[in-house]
Amino acid sequence: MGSHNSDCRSVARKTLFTGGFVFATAALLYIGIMGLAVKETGLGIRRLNQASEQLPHIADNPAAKKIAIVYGSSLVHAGFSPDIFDSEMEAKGIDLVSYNFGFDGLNPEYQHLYAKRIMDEFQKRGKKIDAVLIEFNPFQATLTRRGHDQSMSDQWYASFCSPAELWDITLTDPQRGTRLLEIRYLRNGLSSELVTTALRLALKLHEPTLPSTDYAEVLTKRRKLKSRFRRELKKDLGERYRQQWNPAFRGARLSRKYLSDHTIDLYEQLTASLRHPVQLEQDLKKRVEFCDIVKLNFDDGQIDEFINLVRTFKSMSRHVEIILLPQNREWIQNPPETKNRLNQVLDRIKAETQVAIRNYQQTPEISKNHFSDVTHLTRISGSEAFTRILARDMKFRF
Amino acid sequence: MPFNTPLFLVFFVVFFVLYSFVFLRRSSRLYLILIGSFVFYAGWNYRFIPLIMVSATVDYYVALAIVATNRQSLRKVLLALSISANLGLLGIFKYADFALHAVAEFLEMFGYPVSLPALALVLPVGISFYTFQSMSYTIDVYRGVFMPRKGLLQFTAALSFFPQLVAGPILRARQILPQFETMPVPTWAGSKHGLVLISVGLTKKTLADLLSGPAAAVFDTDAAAVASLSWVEIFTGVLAFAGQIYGDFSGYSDMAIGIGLLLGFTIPMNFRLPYLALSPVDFWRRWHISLSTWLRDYLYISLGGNRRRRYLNIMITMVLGGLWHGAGWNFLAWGFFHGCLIIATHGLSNAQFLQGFALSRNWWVRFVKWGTTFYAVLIGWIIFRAVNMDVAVDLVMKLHQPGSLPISPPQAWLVAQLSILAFASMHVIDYIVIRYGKRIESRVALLLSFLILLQFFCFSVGTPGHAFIYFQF
Repeated sequence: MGSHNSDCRSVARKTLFTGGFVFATAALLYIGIMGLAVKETGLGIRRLNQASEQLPHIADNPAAKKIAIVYGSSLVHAGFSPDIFDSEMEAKGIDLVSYNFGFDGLNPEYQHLYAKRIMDEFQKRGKKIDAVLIEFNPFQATLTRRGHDQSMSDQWYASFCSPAELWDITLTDPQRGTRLLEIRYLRNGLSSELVTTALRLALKLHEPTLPSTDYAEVLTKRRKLKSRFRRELKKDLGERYRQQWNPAFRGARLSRKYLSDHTIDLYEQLTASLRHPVQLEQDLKKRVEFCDIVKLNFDDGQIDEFINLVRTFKSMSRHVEIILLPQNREWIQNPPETKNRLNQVLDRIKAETQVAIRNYQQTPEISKNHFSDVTHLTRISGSEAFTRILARDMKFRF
Repeated sequence: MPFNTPLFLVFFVVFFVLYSFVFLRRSSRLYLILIGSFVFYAGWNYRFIPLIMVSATVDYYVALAIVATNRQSLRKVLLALSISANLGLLGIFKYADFALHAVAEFLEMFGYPVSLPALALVLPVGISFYTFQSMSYTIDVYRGVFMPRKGLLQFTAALSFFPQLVAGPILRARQILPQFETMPVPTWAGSKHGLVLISVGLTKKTLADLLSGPAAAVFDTDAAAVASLSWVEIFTGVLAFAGQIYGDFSGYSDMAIGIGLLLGFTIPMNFRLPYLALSPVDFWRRWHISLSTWLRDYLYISLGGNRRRRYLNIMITMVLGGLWHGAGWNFLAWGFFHGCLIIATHGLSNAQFLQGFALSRNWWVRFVKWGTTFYAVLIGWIIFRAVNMDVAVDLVMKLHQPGSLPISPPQAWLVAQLSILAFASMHVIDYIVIRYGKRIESRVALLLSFLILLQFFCFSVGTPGHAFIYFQF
């Protein structure tokens, strides 16, 4: 019996050691290689990581100015210029520093999680945010979009939940909780879904078919233009080139202040080339397939999350408004029933949050040439034009 | 609590430490296995644990009663009680709604439309596996090939043994109960092999999950959407599903066997490179071996086997084998299709003019046999996986009319290449383990490199918690 037990223990020790060694080595390799991949390609989360790194500094507010955060989706990322907003506000006599907190690929549920982390930073310091403009992006709150977002749910929960929230999830759903803890602590916040999504994008597995050989020529020209633009941008920005959430631009992707006229000219040429009808048609197709952008069948759960998101910001901010960014009317034409649905949703949000909504979707001052695709404003002329309109309409009373 | 989740890792490490260092006496280990298995099962739904206990208790006492009496009629009644109890559980939870629906359809056909209420019961995970396992015990005892064991605890622990509880392999009482009597000590060689099998299983499961996308793109579509698919996409989807179901199920079996080995238990192999089969009969000798041998030993032979009505027995066995996978016409049709294939194989191999072909060892002849079998198996998977029979027929038709289909998008070729790569990789890994497994396990550096490589792959692109297909059966 004694030798039986000691044999059993000896084999078990070896097994545990071998299994542990293999697991730990594989995890370390993963963290190392994926860390490099994030550094090189971003893997879709670099902007969020960099914004998170800046949060304590923003909350500290060393310049002691009023703080305004514009929070939302990639539409905000592309379409809001803090430089323009601040200078327009200065002209109105308001000393303010604004930040672009627009992030790609986050639906209201995940935006709400991240919003809580923003609030934590201010709460820790006993401060409130002076103004928050929250974008409501209708096509991010659709059932279709939700269906396509599911695979990244664990990634965002693991990244954005506080330790206490993670613990709560683990107690109520141990399977999900341990998975989230694994992503957060064993994988250094990088889920395998993030890797497969990045691979899918890199392999262009969802790219639509090219309709003609003529368009292939346009693509070749665009590729050359893009590489020239990138070269010039690198020259202008130097080290900042790699930053997805650039503190100097306060979260905007580009800023006229830092770019040469030549680079700006190349950028405008590039966006003009992106406005090719074939490209826009493909883009629209993709948006319909992944976001239901024309019919907009809303997911009530996402609307609830958006309402909660507004309430979260409202609890810690002096001034909160909801905005809808301009829509590319040339390409996205919602049928009357969709418009009714959207109006009903907006009425509900307004009634439940008691927050004013500014809807710029149909603003006549923004034309099709302010867009780089069917949804996003161009990062220079488009974002500047919209930001000026926004700044003109904003009436802060601090 | 699927094997491919961090929660299972935590569970198993705790269980393994307790099993190896704390609970060293046989009786305490039996309790540990029983409690551990119930905790494992409760990861899905603790409410169904009593079903396992009912199945175990009924069969345990029925087996004791069978040997206690010499009256053949009573023995038969007792056996019928055991079979009825197990099939009754299966019938209520798995087939009741299907049967009610079929009755309603049948009556409607004759002009008597009726509305029968659906039970809409949740299917308890693993019920098809543990009821078959439990039944095999009483049948073996009835046949006198296995003596009943004393100790309900031991019997229940063996039946609910967590590595194989929810998705097999379906163990026979004679395979597992003697091991529970001796509680074998794990060997280092067995443990190394166990670690290899767990890693290989996880890798195959990861590849299967990657293939689930292209498979779903073809099979989760209605008849209208099928019309817009090109033949390349259909072929890719079918191949992807073939790979998905193999990687998913054989991966689970590998992990179950590996986990068993780490605890000292031997669980027989459930797959032997089935897609390399040279005939449909050969395929069923390599695919889900524990089910096909169960059906052979307990159904086919009971029906008369080769002695009388051979082809009818084959067809009944295969149709019921198809239905075992789920309550649906497609499973029934799939079983019927394979029944036809097996009957045709036997018929052709008996034909005088094909004797030379059937017995030939020529490489080209073997290639033709393999190609034909693989093609037939793929067609079978279309029947198995399509949302309904209309779509299945559409897919089969369109696969064979490449010229009449829409031009495939450029990405379809890339997806096809990636699917073939994933499909081939599973087989390469299997081949490496079969051919070089011993060599790898005998050299520490080689073993560690192999395991780290596989684990890194799973870590990078695996989706922990991605459901196993066979749980729904």
